[in-house]
Amino acid sequence: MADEKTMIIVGEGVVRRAPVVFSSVGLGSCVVVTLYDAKRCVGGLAHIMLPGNRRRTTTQVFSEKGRETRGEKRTKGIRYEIPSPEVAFTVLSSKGDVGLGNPANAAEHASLNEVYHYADTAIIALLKEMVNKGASPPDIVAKIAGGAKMFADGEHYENSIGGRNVKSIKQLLKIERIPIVGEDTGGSHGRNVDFHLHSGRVVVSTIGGKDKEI
Amino acid sequence: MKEEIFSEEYKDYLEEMVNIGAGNAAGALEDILKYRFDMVLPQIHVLPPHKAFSVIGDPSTSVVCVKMNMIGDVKGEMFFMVPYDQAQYVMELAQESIDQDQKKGDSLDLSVMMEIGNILAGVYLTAIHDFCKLNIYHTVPVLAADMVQAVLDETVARLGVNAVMLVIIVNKFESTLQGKKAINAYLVMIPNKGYENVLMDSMREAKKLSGR
Repeated sequence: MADEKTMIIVGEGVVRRAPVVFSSVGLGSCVVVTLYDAKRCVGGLAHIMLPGNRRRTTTQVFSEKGRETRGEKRTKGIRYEIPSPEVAFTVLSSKGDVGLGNPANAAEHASLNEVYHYADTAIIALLKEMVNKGASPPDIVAKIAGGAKMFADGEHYENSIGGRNVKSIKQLLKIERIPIVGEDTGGSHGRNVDFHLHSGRVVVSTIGGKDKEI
Repeated sequence: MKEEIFSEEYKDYLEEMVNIGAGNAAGALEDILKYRFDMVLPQIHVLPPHKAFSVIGDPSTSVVCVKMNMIGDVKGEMFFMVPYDQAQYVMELAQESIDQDQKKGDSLDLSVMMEIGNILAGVYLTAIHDFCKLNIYHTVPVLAADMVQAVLDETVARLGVNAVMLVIIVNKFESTLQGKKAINAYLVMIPNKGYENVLMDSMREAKKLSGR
């Protein structure tokens, strides 16, 4: 298929109508969530880094009540080791071109908006964007991939960032009543994900492994 | 930007320090691989963590990566990476130098890379100690062979939103012999938040003492 291919980098989320292919490469502990409404051919992909945004500096993006208040309640009890997410903004928006002559462009700055860094904010933002683009919540299904633990450093999987990402995303999707119809998570290998919007196929490839459709 | 000025100065001091480490690194590698290397002056990149892969190439470039934690005066994480195809060459060399008889079949032992990473990290930390009198130790190495973005993922997530900078030292080892491949080794140091100041302060101090 010669569909247009869009790369989704870490901490980015996009919603589009078919035909387009979303592609995310080099997933380690990050998790990709794809939401798809087959009837309306609307699909979204978020490349999520961390389980939760404790300080919630991004409230203005989804100031509406409803979903996020429930999500907030649910994730309140989880502890995160990132003390100040607002630092993210200064770091990520600072020009990352030192030593490489590779200027960060405006689009990159916009894409590094921290909403999609965190599972709790990302899923809500993605859902809202889906609805805005015409999707109907009862028809949306989710697929998730990623959440590996790359190094065997003795840490338990459940405590690793990958494990916690997967766990919190599953919880959040359950709260939003979105069924997970495909999953490829865990393990100790990186993944590349291609999301074909015209068919809703999600293809996961690994280095030295077979492509797998979830 | 303030951060840019900061990183320029940082880079300057690091270059000084790395020049000491580089020679030792080539020596150490020669010892392990019993092979004559020419050292090309190492390059230094100071980048925010989410851009780290850009020095090595595509985010999906496969690398053999050894990860260690830094403890002591400066805390953080340390990665030693070699692109996969070059790592295979290194392992062939290592196997030749260790024992000819062990060379059965194709299964090259990745633990050789772990050892090399371990030694080179030690060499650089020694250089830091010699230059700016900081005691940094590294923990037991762990190994992964995968895409560069994937191996750095967890660190970008854990420290990326916190760390101001990360330092990448690109060591290129070239052979004097014609037709031999060059080896690019990437050493990535990611100090935790706050510790990059410790590193820089002592480097500044050291430079003052040495009168340069």
